[in-house]
Amino acid sequence: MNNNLKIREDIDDRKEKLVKFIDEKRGKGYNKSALMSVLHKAQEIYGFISTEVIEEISMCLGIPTASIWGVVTFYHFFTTKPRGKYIISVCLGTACYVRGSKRILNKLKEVLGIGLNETTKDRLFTLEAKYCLGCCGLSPVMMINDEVYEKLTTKKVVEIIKNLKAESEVHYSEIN
Amino acid sequence: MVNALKNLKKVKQKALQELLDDGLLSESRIYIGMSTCEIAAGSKKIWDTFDKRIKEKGIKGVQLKQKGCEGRCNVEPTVEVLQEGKVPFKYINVDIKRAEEIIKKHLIENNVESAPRTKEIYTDPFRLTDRSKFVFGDVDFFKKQKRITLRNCGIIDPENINDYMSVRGYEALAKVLTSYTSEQVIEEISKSGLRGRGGAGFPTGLKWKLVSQEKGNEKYVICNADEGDPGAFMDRSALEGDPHIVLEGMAIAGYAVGANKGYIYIRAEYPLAIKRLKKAINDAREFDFLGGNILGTNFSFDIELVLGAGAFVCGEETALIHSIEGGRGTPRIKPPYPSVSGLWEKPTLINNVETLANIAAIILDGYKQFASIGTKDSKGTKVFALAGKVNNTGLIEVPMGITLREIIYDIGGGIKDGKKFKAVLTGGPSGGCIPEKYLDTPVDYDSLKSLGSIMGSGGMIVLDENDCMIDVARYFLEFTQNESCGKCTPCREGTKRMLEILTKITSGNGEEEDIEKLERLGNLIKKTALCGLGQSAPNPVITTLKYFSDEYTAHVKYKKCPAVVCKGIISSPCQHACFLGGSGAPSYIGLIARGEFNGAVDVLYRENPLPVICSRVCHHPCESKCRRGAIDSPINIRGLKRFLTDYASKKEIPINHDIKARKDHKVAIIGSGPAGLTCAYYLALNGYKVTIFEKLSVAGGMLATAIPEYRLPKKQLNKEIENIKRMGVEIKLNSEIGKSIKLNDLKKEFRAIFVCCGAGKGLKLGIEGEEQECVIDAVDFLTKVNTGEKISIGKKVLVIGGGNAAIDTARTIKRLGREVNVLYRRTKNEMPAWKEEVEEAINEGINIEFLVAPVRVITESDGSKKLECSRMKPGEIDASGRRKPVSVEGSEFTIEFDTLIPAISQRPDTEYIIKGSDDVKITKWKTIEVNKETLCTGCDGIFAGGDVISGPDTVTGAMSHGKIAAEMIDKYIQGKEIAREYKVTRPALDVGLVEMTEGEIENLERFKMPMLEISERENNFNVTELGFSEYQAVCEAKHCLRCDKEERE
Amino acid sequence: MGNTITIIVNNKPYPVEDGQTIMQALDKIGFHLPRLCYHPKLSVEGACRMCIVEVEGSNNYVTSCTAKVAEGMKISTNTAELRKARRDILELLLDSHPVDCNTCERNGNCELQDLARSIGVKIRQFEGEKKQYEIDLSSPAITRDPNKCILCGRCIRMCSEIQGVNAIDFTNRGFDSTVVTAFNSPINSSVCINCGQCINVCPTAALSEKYYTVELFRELSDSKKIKIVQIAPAVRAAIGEAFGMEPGTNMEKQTVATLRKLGFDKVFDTQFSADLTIMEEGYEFLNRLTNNGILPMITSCSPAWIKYAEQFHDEILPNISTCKSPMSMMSSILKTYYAKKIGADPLNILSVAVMPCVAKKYEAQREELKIDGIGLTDIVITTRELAWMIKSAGIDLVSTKGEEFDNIFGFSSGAATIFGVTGGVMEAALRSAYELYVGETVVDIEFNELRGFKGIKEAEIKMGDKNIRVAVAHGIGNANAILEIVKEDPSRYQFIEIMSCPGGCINGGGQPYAGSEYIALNENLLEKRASVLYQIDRSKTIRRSHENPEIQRLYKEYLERPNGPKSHKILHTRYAKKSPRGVVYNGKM
Repeated sequence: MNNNLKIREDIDDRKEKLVKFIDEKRGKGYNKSALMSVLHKAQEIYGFISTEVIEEISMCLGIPTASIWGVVTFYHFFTTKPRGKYIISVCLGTACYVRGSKRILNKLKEVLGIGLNETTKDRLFTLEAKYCLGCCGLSPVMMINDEVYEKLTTKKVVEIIKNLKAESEVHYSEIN
Repeated sequence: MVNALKNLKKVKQKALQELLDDGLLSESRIYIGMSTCEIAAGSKKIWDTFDKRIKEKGIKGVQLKQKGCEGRCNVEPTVEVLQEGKVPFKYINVDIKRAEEIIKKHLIENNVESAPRTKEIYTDPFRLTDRSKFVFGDVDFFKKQKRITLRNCGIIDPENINDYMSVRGYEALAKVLTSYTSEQVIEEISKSGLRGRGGAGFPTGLKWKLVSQEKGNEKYVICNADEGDPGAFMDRSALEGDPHIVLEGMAIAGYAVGANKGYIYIRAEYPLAIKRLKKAINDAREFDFLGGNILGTNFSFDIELVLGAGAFVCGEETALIHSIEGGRGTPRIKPPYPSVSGLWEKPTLINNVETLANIAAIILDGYKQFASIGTKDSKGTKVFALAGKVNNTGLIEVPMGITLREIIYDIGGGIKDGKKFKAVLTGGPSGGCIPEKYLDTPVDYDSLKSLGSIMGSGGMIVLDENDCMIDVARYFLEFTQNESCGKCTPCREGTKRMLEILTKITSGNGEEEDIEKLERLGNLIKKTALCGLGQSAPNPVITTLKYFSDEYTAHVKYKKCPAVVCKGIISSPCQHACFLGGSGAPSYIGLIARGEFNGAVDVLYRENPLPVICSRVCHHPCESKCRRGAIDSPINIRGLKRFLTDYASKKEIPINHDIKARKDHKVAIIGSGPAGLTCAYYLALNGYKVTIFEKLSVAGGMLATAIPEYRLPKKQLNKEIENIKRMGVEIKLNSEIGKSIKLNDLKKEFRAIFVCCGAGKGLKLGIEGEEQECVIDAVDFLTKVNTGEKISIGKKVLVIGGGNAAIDTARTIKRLGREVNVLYRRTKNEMPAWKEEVEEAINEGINIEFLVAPVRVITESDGSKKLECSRMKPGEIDASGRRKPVSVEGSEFTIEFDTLIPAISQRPDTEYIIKGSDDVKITKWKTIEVNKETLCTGCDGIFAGGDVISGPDTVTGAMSHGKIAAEMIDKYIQGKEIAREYKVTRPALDVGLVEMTEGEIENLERFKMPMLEISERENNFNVTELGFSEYQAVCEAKHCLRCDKEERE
Repeated sequence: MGNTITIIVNNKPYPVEDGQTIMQALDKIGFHLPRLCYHPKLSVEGACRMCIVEVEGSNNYVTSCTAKVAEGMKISTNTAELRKARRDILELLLDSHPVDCNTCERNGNCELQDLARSIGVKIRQFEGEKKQYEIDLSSPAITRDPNKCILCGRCIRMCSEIQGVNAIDFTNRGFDSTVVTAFNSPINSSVCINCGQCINVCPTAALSEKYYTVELFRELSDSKKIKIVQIAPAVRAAIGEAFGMEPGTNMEKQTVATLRKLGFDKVFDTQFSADLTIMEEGYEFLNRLTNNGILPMITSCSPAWIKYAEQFHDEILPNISTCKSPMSMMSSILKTYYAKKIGADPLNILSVAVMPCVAKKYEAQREELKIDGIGLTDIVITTRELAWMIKSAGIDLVSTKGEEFDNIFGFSSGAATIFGVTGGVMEAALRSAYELYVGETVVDIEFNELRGFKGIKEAEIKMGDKNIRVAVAHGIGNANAILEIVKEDPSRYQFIEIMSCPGGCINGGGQPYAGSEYIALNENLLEKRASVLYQIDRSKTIRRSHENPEIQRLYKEYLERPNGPKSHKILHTRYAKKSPRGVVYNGKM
C-alpha cells in the first residue's frame, strides 16, 4: 500500500472517531452545547483543530463556522496549528513568577530556538505559557504533556530537554 | 424512605467489609501521596519502587495505598508506613534512594531505628481509626488549622469509594433524602452561615433558596471548578484528594433546589482531578448515589463534567454558563441572575468547589457546630493555597478570623531565607497586596474587603523584600489584560493602557503624571467594567498605589527599583544595589574575566573615589542582589575589587584624576570620614578648593578609629587619603569645630560647608550600675586601640550587642589575648553584623551567647564585678518583622567580668558644633535635620551628610552622601537650582562577554577568599583576608552572569 | 407594557411607562444618552459602557440600555464624575482607533466622531499602542478595516439576528478581539452575501463598500468611451439625505442632471429594465404556472439573496427565476442591442450603475452573466459613492435644475418604480401577470397587503381559474423563514418575492447613512423613502410594465418575444451551488 493511501486512511479513521463522538453527544440531546466537549475531543484526536475539522463540526452540530471559529480562538487551550510531540507549558502563575519562572521560559526559548506558542521545526516541542498549573508549592514548575516538573532551574531545564530529545531519537531509530 | 437507609447500610457494609478484607488483613499499609504536586515531586517513581521491591522481595502483608495531598507541598513526596499497634512512621521528602532504604530497613529488616528518620516522630501506637489524628496531629503546620472541607484529603484513597464510605461518605445525602424536606435542607445551610467560597461571599443558603423558589422542573446545579487564579490550587487539591465530597454536596444541593442535573465545569489543565472525578462519578452511580432514584428514593440526580479551555473569565458565572452552552466565554449583564435565568435560561445554582465540600459536614454535624467556627459574619473555615516566599508552602484550611500573621508565621513558618516580609496577596488578580502593618487583620470577607483586597477563592502569595510591588502589579495586569474577554470597553482597552503605563514605569521611563493616570484608569475600570472580573482587575494596582506609593516614587522619580527586580530600570542588580549609584561592577568584572586588569583598574578608580577602602570594608549590597546567588553563591564582588586595588598597588599603576579647571571658590568639610573624603574628592575633581577640618589627630574618621587594623590597615587607608590630598585637598587635623573655630566663622571664608562629623557617641545600656569605670563604650575602646592609646581592660571582657561594632570589639579583644564573651538578646539569624564577620569571630573562638540580655551590674564586696543577665525567648513579631525578645521569668544568672563593653549603637555629638547657627536644626535623635534629597540644612550654604544625619550607618551610605553633597554644593555655588537629577544607571563601559567552552562553564572552580589561618591571628592585627590570585580572580569573574548584557524587556 | 410610574431624573420627577429600560424612558423624556453598541432592532449587549448613568443606591454606574426603570428611581445623567467616566471610556476607544477623520469616508457621519465631539475628548491621557491589522480589500463589494472597529458587535448581531447569515463573529479575546469571518479568511472567500447591512449599522468606517469612485472619475475623463449610467429606483428616494434634505424627497431629476454634469453621455433609468424584468419574469411565471413548472417561483433581483441561496439552499435554486436583475438586463441591452443601434463596439461602452446596493458590485462580476464573453456592468457605485462624487466634483445637487432621463431607456412605468421597496416586484409582477393571464385589467392595482414592513407578507389573488398565493419576504432572516414554510408545504405559495435587505432596496447596504435623527432600520425613515417611490408610481399614467411603449418596441425590434429564445440568451442566467471557504451550515436547523 502506498504511503499516501495509508495516511488518508488514518485521516478517515480519525474523522470517523470524531463523528462517532458527536453522534453520541447528539444522541443524548446535545447540539450546540456539545461544542466544548467536541472541540476537546477533536484536539485530542488530531492534536489541533483545523479548519476542515471546524467545518465538519459545523455540519454535524449546526453551528455556523464563524461562531465555532470565534469559540476556538477565544479559549487559549485550543490550537488551530499543529503542535509538537511534547507540549511544554511553563507556569507563569504568581508563585512561580516570583520564584523566577520568566528565566525558565527564556532558557527554554533559547534552548529550543523558538518563541512562545511556536513549534520546533522537527515537530518535537511546542512552547506555551500557562497562568498557574496549581502546583505553587513546587514553584517554579512546567508541564510537559501531562507530567509536571518541579522546582526548576535553568540547568534542570536544559537537562530535561536533552533527555527528551534523546528519548525521541531512540524512538525514531526503533521505528526505522 | 426506610428503604433508602437500608440501601445505604447495605452498600456501606459491603464497602467496609471490602476495606477490611484487603486492609486489616495486611500487616503494613503504606500510603504514598499521589496528587499532581506529589507526582511532580516524584512520588510516582517512589510508588513504582515500592511496588517493584515488594513483589521482587516477596514482602508479605504489605498494602500500598495512594492518598491525596495533605497540603504540605514543601515536604513532598511523603510516605507513611503504618502498622497496627506500632508506632507510625512518616517519611518526608522521600527520593528513590531513601525509598530503597525504607524498604530495606523498615520493611525487610524491621529495624525502624536505623531507617531514615524524619523530623516528625510519633510516639503513640497507630490505630487505623486514628489516621487523621496521625496525619494532622503532631505537626506545627496543622496546629492552627481547622479541617472541614479538607478533612479527608491526605487521609483516604481518592480513587476508592470504599475509603470514602469509611469516613461517613454519603451519609449526609442519605440523611437528607430520608428525613429532610428541601426547605429544611436550605434552612440548615442558611443557619450555618456558610457564604460562597468563590470569592464574593454571597450567603449560600439564600442562593439555594432563590433557586428553589423558581418555578419549573428544569433546574441545574453547577459546580464551578474553573480555578484560574494564578497562585491558587485549592480546587485541584481538593478534587484530587476527595472528589466524592463534592459530588455528595452537589446531590444535596440538587435535592434542595429541585434540580436533577449537575455540571462540574473544570479546568482542562487538571488532568488528574478530571480523571478522579470521572471515576468518582462512575463509582457513585454504581453505588446508587447518583443517577435515577437515588438509594431507592424518587430523587434522581446525575452529574456531568464539562472541561474549560483556558479562559480565566469563565470563573465568572455568566461566562461559565455561556461556555457550557458552547459559546465564547463572555459574561453578560446581571440581572437576570443565574438563579432566575441560567443555563439554557433555566434557574441555575452555581457554587464553587469549596462551598459544596462544606455541605456534607454541615448536614452531618448540624449547623450549630459549623456556625461555632469563625467570626460573626464569616462562619466556618477557609482553604488557602499558601505560596510564595514562606517556608511552609501548601494547602491550608483555617478558621475564619485567624490573622494573616498567624497564617504566615505560625502555619507558614515565616519568610524563607530569613528575608523581610513585604506583602501578602489575597484574591489573586482580583485581590490586593496587604502590607506589614495590616498583618493582624482577621481573615474574613469584610475585613479583607476593607483593605481593598478580597478573600477570593483562596490564593495567598507571600512576598518578601526581593519582590517589587510594581512588578507584581504589572504581572497581574498582564494576566488580566491577557484574560480580558474583550467585550466591554473599560476592561478591554483600559487594562491594556494600565499595563502600558506600568511597563513604562518598570522600564524606568515613568513620569509623575503616570501615577495619576493609573489611579484614574483603575477607578474607571472598577466602576464601569461589565463583570466582576473587570471591576476587580485594577485592585492589585490600586492597593499597591495605596500601600506602596514609595516604591512607585522610587521607580518614577528616583529611577530605582528597591527590590532590584525591574529589568528595564536596572542594568545589572549589583550596580543597581550599589549605594554609589554607578560602581561599574559589571564592567570591571567583565574586564577581569577577559584578563584585562589594567582596564578594570581604570574603570574601578574612575567610578569609585575610595576603592581601597570599599574593597575592604564595604558591606557589599551588590552581592546580596547578585543573580548568581540564586544559582549557587553570589560573585565575590568585594573580593574582586580587592584584587584590583592590590593589583594597582603592586603594578604601581598611576592614579590620574582628570581635574576640571580650578575655581576660586572654597568649601569647608567638617569631618574626614568616608562622607567627607568622598565629598572632597568630587569637589576637588570639579576644581574647588577644599579644606577638611578634623577633630582628631588622624584623618579618616571611623575608618581610622573604629575599624580594626586586621580589616583595614592604616597604611592602606592613608594611601587612599594621600590620593585625595594630592588632588589639592587640605586636611586640618586637631581642628574641632565649635571650640576655637565656630561654624558661623567658617561661613565668612568658605562659600559652602559640608558637615559630616559622624556619630561617635556610644549609647548607654540603660541598666543599673553602668556608670562605672569598668564599663567602656565600644567606639571609645576601638579608637583607643587604633590610635595606640594605652587601655586597661583586665582579663575577662563582656561585649553586649550584635552589630559590627560588637564583633570588631570582640575580635580585637581576642587579638589582645583576653577572654571575651558576646551577649546578644536575639538569635544568630537576626544579628545585624555581617554574616562573614560573625562566622570569622566564631572561627576565631569567640563565644557568642544568644538570647541573653543584661539586667544590672553588680559590684561584689571584694570589688569584683558581675553582670546579671536574663535569658530571652522570641515573642511576637515586631515592626521590623523580627520576633521581639522577651525575658524568660526566673532565668536570671550572673557572669563575672573585668570590663563590660556595650556596643549597641551610637549617636552623633552635634550640640556644640552647630552652636550659633540657629538655622541648623537637630532632631530628637540628635542628628542634623536635612532635606533627604539635597542634604540642605536649614541654613543657606550648609549641607550635612553621613552618620551625623542618619545615625550609625554603612561606609558606602556615608560615601553616597558625600557624592550627593558635592553635586549639590556645586549647584549651590553655581547659583543653579539645588535639586537632584535622577537617571537610570547604565554600565560604565560596554564590555564584551568572554567566550567560554561548555566544559569551562561546568567545571569552573569557585574559590573562597583565601584567609589567614586562625592560629596565625593570635596576638597580632594582620589582615585576615588575603586576597585572590590572578587565576582565582579570573575564575570568579567568569562566574558572573553579566546581567548588564541581558536584553532589557 | 405596564403602568405609569415616576422616576426622578437629575432631581426632577417624570412620569414614564413601567417595563422599559432607562434608556428607552430617557429617550422619550428627551435625554439622549451616548451609545455605541446599542441598536433598537438588535439584542442588547451592554458592552460599550457609554450609556452609563448613576442610579441612587447602586455602587457602580448602571448601563441604561439594560437596566429597567422602577418606581421612584433616582437617576443622574450628567454629574461631573459621570461625564469624566464617559469621557475616559470614549478616549479608550479613540486611543486604539486610527483617528484619521480628515480622510475617512465617514467624516461628518460617524457615531464615534460625533460622540468625541459632544463628549469633548480633547487632550489624550492614555495613548498607547494602536491596533495594526490589514485592511481586507478582497471583496468587490465590502471592505473591512479592523483598525477602525470599536467592537460594538452590531454588525455581528445584524448578520446573525436579522440576516441569519452568520458570516462574521468575534475572534480572539481581550485587546486582540476582532470581528472576522470564519477562519479569518478574506471576506470574498467567506459566506458573506454582500448585503451590506453590516455597513449600515457600523458606527465607524470599519465596514464599508469597496470604492470605485477613483476608477470611475478616471474612466469619465476617457473621451474615447461612451459613458452610460443607469440609476436604480431607490437611489432617487434617498440621495437627498446625503445632502441634508429631508428624508422622503424625490431627487430623480436633479440626480439625472448631476450625472450629466459629472460627464456621463447618457443617463438611463434602471426602471426601464425593471419593466423589462416584469415582462420576462411575468411570462416565466405564467409559463411555470400553466406548464406544470417548478413552483413556487422566487424572484431573482436581489444579488445577495442569490448568493445566499446558492450557498445555503441549493435545493431551492430551480425555483428561482432565471431572469437577470434589472441592472444586468439594462447592461445586457446596452452591450448588445444598443451598441448595435448606435454602431459602437460594446467594449467601447462604459456601463455604470448607481445602486442602493453593495451586492450589485459583486453581481457585476459574475461570470455567468456575461454575453459572449463580454462583461455587462463595468462599474457599480452606491448611492453614497455617487453623493461623494457629486460633492467631490463641486456640484450642487440641491439647487441643480432637474433634467429628464435620456431616450430610449429612460421611460418607465409606475410598476418599475416600486421595485425599490419590499413587495414592489411582486406588486408590479401581479399588475402585469393578472392582465396577461386573465386578459383584463386589474381594478385596484395597489396591493396593500404587500406593502409595509412586516417581515413576511402574504396575499391571495384570484386569477381567472386560479387562486394565486404569493408571499413577500425582506431580510434574509425572513427569507429563511419562508423557505422553511415552503419546505413544510411546497404548494402553499406559487410566487415569492425575496429581498435581502429589510425594507427592500430603499434600505440597501449602499444607501446614505441614516442622519442624526434616525438609526439604520428605523421604520419612519424607511416609510419616508418608500413614500417617494409610491408617489412616483401614482403620478404616472402608465403603471403597468407591459404597457411601457419603449418595452414593446424593444421586443419588436430585438428581443422578439418575452421568455423567448433571444431574450433567454440576453436576459436570463443560471445558478449553481457555491461552497466558499467556511460555508457549511447557516446555523438554522
